[in-house]
Amino acid sequence: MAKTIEQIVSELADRDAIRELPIKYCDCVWRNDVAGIVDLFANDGAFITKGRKREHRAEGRDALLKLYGGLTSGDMTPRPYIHNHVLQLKGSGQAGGRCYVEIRDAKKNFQWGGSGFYEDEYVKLGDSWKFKSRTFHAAHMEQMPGRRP
Amino acid sequence: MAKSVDQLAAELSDREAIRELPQRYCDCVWRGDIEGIVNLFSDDGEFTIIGNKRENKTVGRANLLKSYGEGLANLTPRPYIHNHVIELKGNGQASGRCYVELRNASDNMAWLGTGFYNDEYVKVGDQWKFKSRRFQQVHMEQRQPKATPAQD
Repeated sequence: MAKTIEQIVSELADRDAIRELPIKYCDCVWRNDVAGIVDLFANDGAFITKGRKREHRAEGRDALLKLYGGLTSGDMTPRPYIHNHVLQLKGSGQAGGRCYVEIRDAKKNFQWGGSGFYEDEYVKLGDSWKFKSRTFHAAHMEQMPGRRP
Repeated sequence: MAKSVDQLAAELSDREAIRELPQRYCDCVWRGDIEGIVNLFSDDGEFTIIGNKRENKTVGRANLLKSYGEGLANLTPRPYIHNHVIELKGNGQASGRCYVELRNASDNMAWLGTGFYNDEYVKVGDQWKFKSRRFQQVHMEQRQPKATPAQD
């Protein structure tokens, strides 16, 4: 059955709001706006980093504030560019997506710092879409942000 | 005459679906999802690579499966898509152009090259598909031949 005009517009609005989440995330990282990053997550949202050998998980607002508070404390100051965002609306205020990132390092004359992709889960809370979880898979990183040598 | 709300919504929906095609294409290439790539094309879809001196064209689902299977077995490109422009032509037809940067997963994600796609899109049922993609190489790094053991 063909979608109604209301359904089409509602889906377009949802997709646009979700598409903006990873862009706002990058914008906040660029500006070191830690509270802004964490506000993009649900209160019980999680950020997971998956490397070849281990996984690190920060879940909930306090843990996320702590994690992102250390974003520039390591040898790298990440400056991300987001690409290739694909997303799937699942209904009932749930969605999933994947997007790819290139990172340059502001501490090193914007040398290329690495790349990878995010597996995202999104959730609609009230009128706003939020990250329910972000799982970062590194493809190649010169070093990880926030990690001290 | 001004477009109706229904027309505007339909056009926005079409543009959103078309905009996602090259993004999904890149996502599939990253994940080595050959069938996923080919599913983005119509059954009679075409993919053409245009280099400096030659043009290599592949037509139809079976050939695309074979070509992408072989191509991605030999190379590990990691594409990022940019600057996608779209023109709706009506009657389920559209065209567009988008630009790509390629990195090489087999070489610490070193820069592999760049180029652009001239795309034709077609609406098949409710879904937009690639009718054709013509990849124009602009600059590709020379691939280093694999080292071979010294012969005595």
